[in-house]
Amino acid sequence: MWLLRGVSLLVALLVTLPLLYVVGYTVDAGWAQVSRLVFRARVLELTWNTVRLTLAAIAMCALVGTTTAWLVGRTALRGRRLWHVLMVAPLAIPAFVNSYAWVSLVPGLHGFGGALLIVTLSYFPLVYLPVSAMLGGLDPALEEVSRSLGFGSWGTFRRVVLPQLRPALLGGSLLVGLHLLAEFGALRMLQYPTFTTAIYDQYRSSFAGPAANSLATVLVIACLFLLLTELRLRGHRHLARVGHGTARATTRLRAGRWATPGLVLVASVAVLAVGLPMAMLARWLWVGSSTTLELGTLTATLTQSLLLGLVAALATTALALPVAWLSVRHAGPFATLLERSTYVSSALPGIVVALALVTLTISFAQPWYQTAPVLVIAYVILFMPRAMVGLQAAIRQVPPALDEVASSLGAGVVARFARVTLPLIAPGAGAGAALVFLAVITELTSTLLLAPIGTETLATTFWGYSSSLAYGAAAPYAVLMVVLSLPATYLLTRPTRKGHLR
Amino acid sequence: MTALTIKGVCKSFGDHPVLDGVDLTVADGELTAVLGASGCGKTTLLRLIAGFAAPDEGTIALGDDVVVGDGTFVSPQRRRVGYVPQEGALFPHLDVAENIVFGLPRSERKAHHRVDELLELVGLDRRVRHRAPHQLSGGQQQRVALARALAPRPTLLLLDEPFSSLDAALRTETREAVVSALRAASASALLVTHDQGEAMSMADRIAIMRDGRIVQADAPAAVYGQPADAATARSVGHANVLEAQVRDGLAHTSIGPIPLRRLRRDGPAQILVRPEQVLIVPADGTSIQTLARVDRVHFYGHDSVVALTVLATDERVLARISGGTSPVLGATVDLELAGEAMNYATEP
Repeated sequence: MWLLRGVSLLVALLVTLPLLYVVGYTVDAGWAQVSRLVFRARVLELTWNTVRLTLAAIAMCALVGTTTAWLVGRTALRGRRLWHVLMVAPLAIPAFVNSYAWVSLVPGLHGFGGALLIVTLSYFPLVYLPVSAMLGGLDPALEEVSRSLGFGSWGTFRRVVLPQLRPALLGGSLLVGLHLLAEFGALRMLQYPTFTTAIYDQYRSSFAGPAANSLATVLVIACLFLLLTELRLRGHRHLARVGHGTARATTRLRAGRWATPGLVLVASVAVLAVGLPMAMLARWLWVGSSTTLELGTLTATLTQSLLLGLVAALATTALALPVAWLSVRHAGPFATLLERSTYVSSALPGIVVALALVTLTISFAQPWYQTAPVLVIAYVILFMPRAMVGLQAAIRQVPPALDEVASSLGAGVVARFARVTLPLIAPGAGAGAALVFLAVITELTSTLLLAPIGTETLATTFWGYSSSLAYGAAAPYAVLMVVLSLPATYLLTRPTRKGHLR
Repeated sequence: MTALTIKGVCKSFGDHPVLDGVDLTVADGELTAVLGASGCGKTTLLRLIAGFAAPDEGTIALGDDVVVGDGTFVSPQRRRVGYVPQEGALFPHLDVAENIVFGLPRSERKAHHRVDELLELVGLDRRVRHRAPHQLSGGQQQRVALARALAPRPTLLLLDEPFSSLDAALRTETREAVVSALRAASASALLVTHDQGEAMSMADRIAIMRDGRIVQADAPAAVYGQPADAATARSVGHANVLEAQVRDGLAHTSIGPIPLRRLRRDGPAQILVRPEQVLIVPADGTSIQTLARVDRVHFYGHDSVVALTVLATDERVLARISGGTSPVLGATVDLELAGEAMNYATEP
């Protein structure tokens, strides 16, 4: 028991390291220096850029996500299963690949408008998924009552359905906001400067200096602000319904004269978010394969990506296990604090985590600077919730009585774990590990900062080529990332799975 | 020789005492039932014996070995105590045979040692040995759980309300299978239950538990016929409370006189009689009559319980009559008392 608590505490400390570092840095540097670095015209511009893009993207994603979810889930649309998959499919295309596809087609796509278009197309599934899960779980009787009280379909939607969707909408919006604050590749490619891209530029010019760290402080504050706002707005409603995949029959509206416009709307979202990027990838793959394909580099990069993903998935799952076990089997304030801390840390943008790890390794563990273990630690910090969710669900399904029976039959701690617990939680742990693996494959920002010299992943190689406008050479790497992301994305389209995305 | 000896065991959760000085012994080869309402601490007692939790005070010995108390605590896996929890808790990733051999040494596990023998013992067909737990009915699952617990030949078997999740017909059948399996294995067992019928029909001895104490431990007939107090009397069956005047060892009630089981001094008292001691007799006009009105008849098939109101005093009593003849609702009948009444110093 004490061993379990101790190990869990160490894991929680490890993953909160970046947050502790940022807080420590800010306190250490003092208000005077931080304010001098933060209150500048340049930072004001970055703040304006970041805030307006975040708010606009949240609004657009909420609009597009909710509309499509309602059209697919609640109207008699033809081919709903296909549309459902297509509405989730953008998650398989990393935002920086999406922006690459668009920029290579429309080179003039820059600034606020372009950025808003790309992030909306990339991130609206984060709203679509929870809202459509929620729509499927709503009690149709409530809507029937509303109809019988004289409200039409719009009135019913606004007065009955929408209020019930609130937790899903808020949760989805929070994810959009956090993704946006962390987004680097897509916005950099669209030449739209935000905090994250500015931190990267500062890091490239003056390394992990005070300027970069001060910007990171502001970014962390923005993230925590989002988390707290969502918590505040959500209130206690969260507990009512989320996560129970009850299969109740829901009624579908006959769309009537709106059938065609509805179909056109869903289809155009699918074309813009999935069709166009895939077509551009296919085109550049064709162009690239005829000119610059180096199969050797491709294989080496793929191997390194897979290896990193595998190691990170195993490490994350192994480290998440004691915390998950503690939070399920020995629930209490201490366990909850540890469990929550792993979520808060992973809400930090990759650039902040990477910057903290760079500074910490240089200050305290010089030989570890830019080594694979530190990169894996960054992945562990960023993606632990993905492993945690699956593990907790799996552990919850193992009745404690099984453990007791096993011990009364003579099995000790180790034997119980190997013969009872492990076989039972393996599927959940495996699903979580797969999600971590796929997140690592498409991770760009931290990898750029932390990867050892000579280590190239699919994402960094793609980034290198596309930054130098070698679109053809970049295409195979993008295609591989998309292909590797497909299984996990398909997993998300299954109704019972409410994945915690990042 | 005793299989289990519990002395002065106390256990509190926070400042809420659950067990308050429990003393209990289980003789070798005997099935003892701990009977009590939910929340009386009986499951906690079981968990302390199994070693899933430690008592605050007191000692527990299995055979001659103290497993808890005097500064020792033997871990559950070293106690050799078989445990059958409420829902059976079969390992879902293992089939029937693998579940049964779980507690055996590795070599015997591989050989599926004793699987057929144990299946036969608990009354299951050999063909179920490769079924998965979810392919079994509730009763079958409980039997496999029992076989699994018996496989390592434990010194004591603990059964935690093992039949409560089964429906009535299956429950009787599974109970009988369990009792005969325990007899055949000559295993000592402690059964925890809130079902008085279950305790009475299965156990060699019943321990009545209330508010964290054992108030009486005796053979079922003794607990039913000579309960230690009024509450115990009620916990093992219906009991009528009657106002009485005691004179010369006889209690004079509104239904007539009845001898007392224990003598007490003369004066007013409350006494207890079982419904089967209240006899409904035809009003023949010869003896002293106690007229009563039939209010309700609860028909159970093998017998009926009749609720009556004594006309003279408005006292309500229950009478148990056997067979299919039941009195007409609203009819007036004559009542008599048979046997001896139960009476207690602190009434009732």
